[in-house]
Amino acid sequence: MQLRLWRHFDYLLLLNTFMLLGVGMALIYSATWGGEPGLPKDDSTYRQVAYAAAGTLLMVVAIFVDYRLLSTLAWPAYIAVLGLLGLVLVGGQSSYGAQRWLDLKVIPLQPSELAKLALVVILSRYLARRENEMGQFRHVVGSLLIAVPPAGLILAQPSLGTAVVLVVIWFCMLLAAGVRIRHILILILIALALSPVLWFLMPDYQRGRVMQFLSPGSGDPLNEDYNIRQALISIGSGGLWGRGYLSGTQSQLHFLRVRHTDFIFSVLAEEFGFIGCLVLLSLFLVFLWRCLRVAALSQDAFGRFLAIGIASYIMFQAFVNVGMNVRLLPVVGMPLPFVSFGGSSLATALLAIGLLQSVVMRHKRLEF
Amino acid sequence: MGGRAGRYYANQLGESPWRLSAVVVLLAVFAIVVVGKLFLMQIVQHGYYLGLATEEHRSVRQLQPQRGTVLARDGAPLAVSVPYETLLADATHMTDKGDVARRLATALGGNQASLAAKLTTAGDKPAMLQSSLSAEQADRVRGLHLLNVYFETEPLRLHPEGGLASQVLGFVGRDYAGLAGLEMAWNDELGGRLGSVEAEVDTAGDAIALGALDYVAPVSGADLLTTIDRYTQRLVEQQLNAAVEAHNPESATIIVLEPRTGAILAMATRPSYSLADPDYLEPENEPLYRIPAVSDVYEPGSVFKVITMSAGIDSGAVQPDETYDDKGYVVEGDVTIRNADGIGRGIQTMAEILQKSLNTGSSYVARKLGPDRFYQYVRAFGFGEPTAVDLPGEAAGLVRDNKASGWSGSDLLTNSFGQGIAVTPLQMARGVAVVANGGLLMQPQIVREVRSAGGVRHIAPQTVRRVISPKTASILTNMMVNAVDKSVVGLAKLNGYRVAGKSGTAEILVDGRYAPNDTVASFVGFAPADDPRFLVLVAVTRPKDNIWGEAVAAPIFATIMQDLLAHAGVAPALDGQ
Repeated sequence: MQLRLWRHFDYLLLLNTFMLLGVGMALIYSATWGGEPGLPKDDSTYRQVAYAAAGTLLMVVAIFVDYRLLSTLAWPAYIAVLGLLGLVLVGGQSSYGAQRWLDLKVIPLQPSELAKLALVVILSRYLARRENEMGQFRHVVGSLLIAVPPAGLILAQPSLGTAVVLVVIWFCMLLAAGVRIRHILILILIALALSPVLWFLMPDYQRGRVMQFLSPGSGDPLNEDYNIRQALISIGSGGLWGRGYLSGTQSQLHFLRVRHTDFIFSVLAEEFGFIGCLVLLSLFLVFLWRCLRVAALSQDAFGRFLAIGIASYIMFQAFVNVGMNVRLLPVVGMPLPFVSFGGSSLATALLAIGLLQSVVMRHKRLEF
Repeated sequence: MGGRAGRYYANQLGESPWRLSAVVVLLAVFAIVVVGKLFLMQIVQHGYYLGLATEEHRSVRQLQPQRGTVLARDGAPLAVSVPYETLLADATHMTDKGDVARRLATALGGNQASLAAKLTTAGDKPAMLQSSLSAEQADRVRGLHLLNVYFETEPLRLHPEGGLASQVLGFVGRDYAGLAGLEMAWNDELGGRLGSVEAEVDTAGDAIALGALDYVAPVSGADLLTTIDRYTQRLVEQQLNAAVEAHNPESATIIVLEPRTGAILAMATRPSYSLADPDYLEPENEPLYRIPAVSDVYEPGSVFKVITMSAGIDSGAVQPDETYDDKGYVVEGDVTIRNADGIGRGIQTMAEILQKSLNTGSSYVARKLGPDRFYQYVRAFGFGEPTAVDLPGEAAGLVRDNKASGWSGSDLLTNSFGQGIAVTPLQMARGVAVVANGGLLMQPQIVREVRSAGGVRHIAPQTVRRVISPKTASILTNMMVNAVDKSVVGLAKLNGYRVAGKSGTAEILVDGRYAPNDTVASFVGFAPADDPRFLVLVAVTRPKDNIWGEAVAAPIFATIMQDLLAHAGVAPALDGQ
């Protein structure tokens, strides 16, 4: 690898990423150090550190590999991920009533996380090759046909949130590729027409969540009202500066549930307050800025679409997670990227950072 | 990013740069909404949410003090608190309620469906599954090792003497507050003071090891030493049961007083209730919670002639050796008063008025007294106002005097033989006790001592006022002894003892008219006449077999008095034959 490549390495993006990781580990520690009554000592923090190390390794590999190689690997990777998703349905581990895990002996793997990045890669390849023909509706349909199989398999787990992420990735990338507004409207109409069917296909708990969001306080089949109420109390009681690290009563006294994963933002809000929330949101905005910069500097369309796809994938999850915590959006199981506890999610996100670096390091614009 | 990058970006996405702007604007709007919501919750509504958080993890647990014991006169316990275990469950996070209910039903020998219902309906509150478990039941439940099922030790109020004096003792509710009887009237003393533990708790409701803790120790309640004598009370209740058996009355009340102190030695009414009866808390039993001896009024009838004669002699309106002409009737306005048998007996003495229970006689005395002096004495004897005994629900009774509207001259005459006037059994007993006690009206007493950790408060017998002179009292006592001795039936007589007494057969007002066959048959008397130890009032409402106080109440009086005197070791006077 040529040394000059490092001139374009995005140190700010790397720093920003490690800051998010640091925040996440600190919050996971705070959320779990007391343990749950009656359970063995919680080792989530150590596991998260291990996952981060593994993810960083993946990131480094991605940095050294020319991202254009990925273009040729796109289809095999896509097929492999579909295979894994199929395996999950057949013999996966269930948790909270859904099959989302593959037991790989060493680490449990969540193929749906890999699917997000695999979809970004394959769509980047597909769209890059048809960049000047995106006015044609058949390419819109073609890209949709690529996105539907993984989204469908994930919906069948069932994991509505992740399936929605895939659809959003597809939609954002299509938008960036220059699809006609008319076609977008047609798609929206079709989606609206299909939505009643979707409603009836939904499992009860998902319908419950939507109803819960639309009319809070009306029945609570999943005790979600409790979770969200605890989240709101955590956030609200944080105040301007928060109640101090390891001192949030809702988090520390176990009122807040799933606090090291989906509701980790509430832990942050309780212990670090409004200021802490602003800092975290700023870190995500910095990430978005660096992504858009990568997209702008990329030497080719493939790299540009990669950057835009990764930006959509991370930013959408971040905003949905935060929106859910502050009760602007219904409760869906969605991690806060880089921050929430979870190996597959974290490793995939770090791998994505590696891809971004690989793109930005190899842009030729500034080389004379 | 800089201008250069922006330009390249524009070139790359050249044909529609507005799309980028649209996405950025959308993201910015969402970011602003999120930050706005955070600002609202964390800055504007911070206090509200902080309050919710504090409320959630601060818990104040009340610590029940040990409730005081109610003791009989001799120090034996009548009402005590014994710790019993109550089974509770926190059903909030219980996933298999049906299974838990099934296993508990087996262990308790209870109903599975009702247990399951309690678990389901509890919500996030503790579900009270069963109170006062037996030791075996508690052990079996412990053996199940169920999560979220726990015990609390709760004191159960027990009456070691069974149903003895249950109306006077009363009972406590679930919150240990006295709801009837002494438990209610003396709740402040018996109840003590609640203690509390305020602690930080986690979701399981367990106190946190290093959390703040405020402890206020509970203060145990005081013990009450009552004037109730177990022997007397049991005797009275046995006689009540026998009276119910013999006469099938609507109700029957007996009071035993110690005339010199006003101490209530026994007091009971039938029908009654017992804590041993599992249904005693059912709503239909609520009327039984009253203590009729203090809360129910009746027209005393001829017993009241004792009061009228006391007033007449004490005021000098009539002389003890005075006579009057009994025509068998007296006319006042358009009302004609008659003797019970309507017979005129000619010239009669004052003593014979009581002995033969002549309505014309008491009317004669009342007329000579005049309404002002008559009612003055009636009130001095304590009628028409509560006796202030320390029991709940006391009635004042009803005395309509010549200042009341609608009062007429004939009312004076009917009042003189105890009709048209309403008194409680305790008022009547206390009124006659004035004669037994040499003319002094005593405060009826039910509690003699309050024994708390801070010390013993002795409550001395209390004289309310002198009503009549000792001389009048002595004259009246002799008249009452004469009434018992010379009675035609003579059922109140006791061999070897001088007994003073007076019977009454009061007609009961039914729909505004006196019904001749609905009566309160009563007898009040005391003995030994020269040094009265006991005063006994017996009042039987609507006896079915016989309407007369002399026939129904006097024998009960005699049985009780005979037993009490013998038990107290009062030697019979051999010349009393």
